[in-house]
Amino acid sequence: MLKEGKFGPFETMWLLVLFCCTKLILGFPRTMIMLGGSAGWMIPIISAIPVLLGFTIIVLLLKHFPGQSIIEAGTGAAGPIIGNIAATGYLVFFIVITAMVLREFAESIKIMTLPMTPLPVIVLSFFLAAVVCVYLGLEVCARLSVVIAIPMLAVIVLIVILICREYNFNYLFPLLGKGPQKLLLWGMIKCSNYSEIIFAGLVINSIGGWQQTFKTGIKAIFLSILVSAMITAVIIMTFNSQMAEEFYLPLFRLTKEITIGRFFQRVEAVFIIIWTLVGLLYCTLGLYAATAIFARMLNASDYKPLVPAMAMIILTVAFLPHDMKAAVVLDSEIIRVYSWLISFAVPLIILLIAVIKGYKPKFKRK
Amino acid sequence: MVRSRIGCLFLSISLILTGCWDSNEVDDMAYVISLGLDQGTHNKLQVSMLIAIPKNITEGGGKSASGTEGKSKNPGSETSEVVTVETPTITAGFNMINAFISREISLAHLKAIVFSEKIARAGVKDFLDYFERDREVRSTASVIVARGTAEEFLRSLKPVLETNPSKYIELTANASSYTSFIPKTSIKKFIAATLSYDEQAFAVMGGINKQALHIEEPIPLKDTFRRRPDSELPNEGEYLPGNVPRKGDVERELMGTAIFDGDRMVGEFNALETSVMLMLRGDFHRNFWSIIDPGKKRQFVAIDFRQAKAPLIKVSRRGNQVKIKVTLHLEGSIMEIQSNIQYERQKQTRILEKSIAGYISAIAERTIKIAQQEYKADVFMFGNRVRRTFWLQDDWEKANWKATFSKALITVDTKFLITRSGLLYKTNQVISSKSIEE
Repeated sequence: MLKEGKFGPFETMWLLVLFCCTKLILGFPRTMIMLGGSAGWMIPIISAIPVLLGFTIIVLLLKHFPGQSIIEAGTGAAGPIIGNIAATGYLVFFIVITAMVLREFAESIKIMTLPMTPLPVIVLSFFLAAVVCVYLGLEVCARLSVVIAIPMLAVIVLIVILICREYNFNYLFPLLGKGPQKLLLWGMIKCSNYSEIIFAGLVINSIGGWQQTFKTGIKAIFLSILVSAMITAVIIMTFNSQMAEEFYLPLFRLTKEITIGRFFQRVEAVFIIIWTLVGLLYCTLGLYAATAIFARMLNASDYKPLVPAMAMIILTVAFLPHDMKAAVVLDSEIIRVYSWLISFAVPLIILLIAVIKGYKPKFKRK
Repeated sequence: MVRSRIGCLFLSISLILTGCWDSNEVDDMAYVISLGLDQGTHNKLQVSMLIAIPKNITEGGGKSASGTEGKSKNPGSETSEVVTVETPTITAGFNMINAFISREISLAHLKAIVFSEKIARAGVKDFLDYFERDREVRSTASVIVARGTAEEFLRSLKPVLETNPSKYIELTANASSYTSFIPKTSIKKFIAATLSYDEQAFAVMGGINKQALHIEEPIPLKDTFRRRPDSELPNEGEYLPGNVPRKGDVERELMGTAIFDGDRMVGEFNALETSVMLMLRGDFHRNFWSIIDPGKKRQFVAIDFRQAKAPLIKVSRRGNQVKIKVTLHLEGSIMEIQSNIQYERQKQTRILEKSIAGYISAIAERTIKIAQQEYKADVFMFGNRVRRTFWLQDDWEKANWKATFSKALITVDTKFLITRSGLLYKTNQVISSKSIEE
């Protein structure tokens, strides 16, 4: 059993919110607008239904195996073969999303502020910091997430307020955008955007049981979806869907619009500092998740010896796409379309196996 | 202890690492304040850049700058330098300019993008992509269409009140907030309009007043633009940029609006029509306006206009037939009464209000008619309201508002209230020996 430390519901919530919302800084709003047009902001809201359902399935599975994470629960319910296949699925998911976010973040920093710095230097300096954080442990990451998430949320609220003079509510019309069928379909498929919520099932013992995980998880999902929908709507209202779907980094583009008087202009540099920290924490959590899953698969008592190997794998995967566009396509058109199969469908299958095998929900004695 | 030392090491590395590649010293950069685009003679494009000379700005602009074709410069223009190159693309222009300018070109402080009228009428889409794609360009940069060439327009920058050319450009472009003779523009809004299904783009019209029209001579009719038929005296908003009757050192003028259909300029509004366009869009801030006195010929009443609230726009649609009813809500203060008629009295105030309301409605309807029939360009954001009548984006896009705008039935009603009359409560007659007998 891994020793991961303990943290409270407050830290858990912000940790999950940060893990789910980091993509807002990247291409998430653009993808929503491309899929839904003027109603792109509705897609995250529709996604709430499958995400809540999927998260309930994860918690129901964990309810059957108190004191165990989603990895051990899989092995316990479906046996070592199916359990390890499921764990490999989770492992691949975390490796690939961490690698892609790392690559996209590095590319974004290169576009936004450091055009002359070589990409490997940005990736390495970024990822080395993540490796250090993972060595410091999950508890440190959880506490760090509170320190980063609150300024991050404050920055988002500040952007929404400072840009309000540019809003044109008419850009949210036609109200149904590209049509109710497309909105519903993409809303369901794009629940993959919140696949990171499975992380809660991995660190359930640090959170303090399934009841606590369920409560904080639901709060984190609602907050993440609210922030995602709000930012997408603000981007549509500020530009219009035709222009907004052109941007590689819509949120960065939004901050470029902030102008208050002749003095307060070009403030995007202030936001980039916070975003870099958010990206760093995402990579830290991704690397931790991948390492912890692998350690659990090996029944190791400590994950730290595996960190360098896992970091190397993630770095290698990050450099696999030959250009920025390839990384974006892999992330938004493949991972964020099919990852629900791993994060929500696999736990459902394992839960069904557990129910068929006659496992019953158990309550851990205090 | 070891962990914190490692942490400190990484932190210090991350702080100094960027200096290896991306450090930019402010005094190593040449900051472009205005960018002018003309049609090239040997190549696709002629790019002109107005570059700030920070050393002279801090010294108050009194020193002469070198490298201006050997001409002596007027005081004030030494704070900037204009360079022009023939180039296939805007970015290639930077390379070419860096062949003879010592500092690296930066657009981080770009305030205005100037298109020549010729290039604007030919279409500007080939050049817009750069302004959207480059990270340095400010999306707040104003868009100006210059009568004549953009290069000439940039070279005419001779700020008198400012030593900082950047501040001069920014302040003149923001004159919209207190004159409404020009619209407030930005490259972001310009590009957004060219891409949207519901509105057309517009830019500020600019010109150079070569010798300043002799104020003593009568103004030829051709030098005013769409003069009102009901007045023998021209309104201040009817002059073309470059033809304002005036004297003074500043050559460049900003007056009116260039109207685009997609990326091509199709016509222009004079300053008066620009004010009305801003009222209809809900972007109108303030304007002093000379109105013909309803009580006396060749006399004017000057009003300080403000938009009391956003225009009320009611849209009804049946298929492709669109009816739009606009109600403008304006208020104003009396600034001048030349006729001595006591417009401060309630009964007279109502007469003046009715006359002004009718006058503004007439100009608004005429302006809309010009936009519908001559330019076929909705610059009033009516399409922005019409899109609300659709449920699906596909239906809205297929409705092709940019083409159907010219067939829409649009009426304008103006509600105007005179809320104040300045420091005067009533206007007394001037007493002369004859006036009592009269």
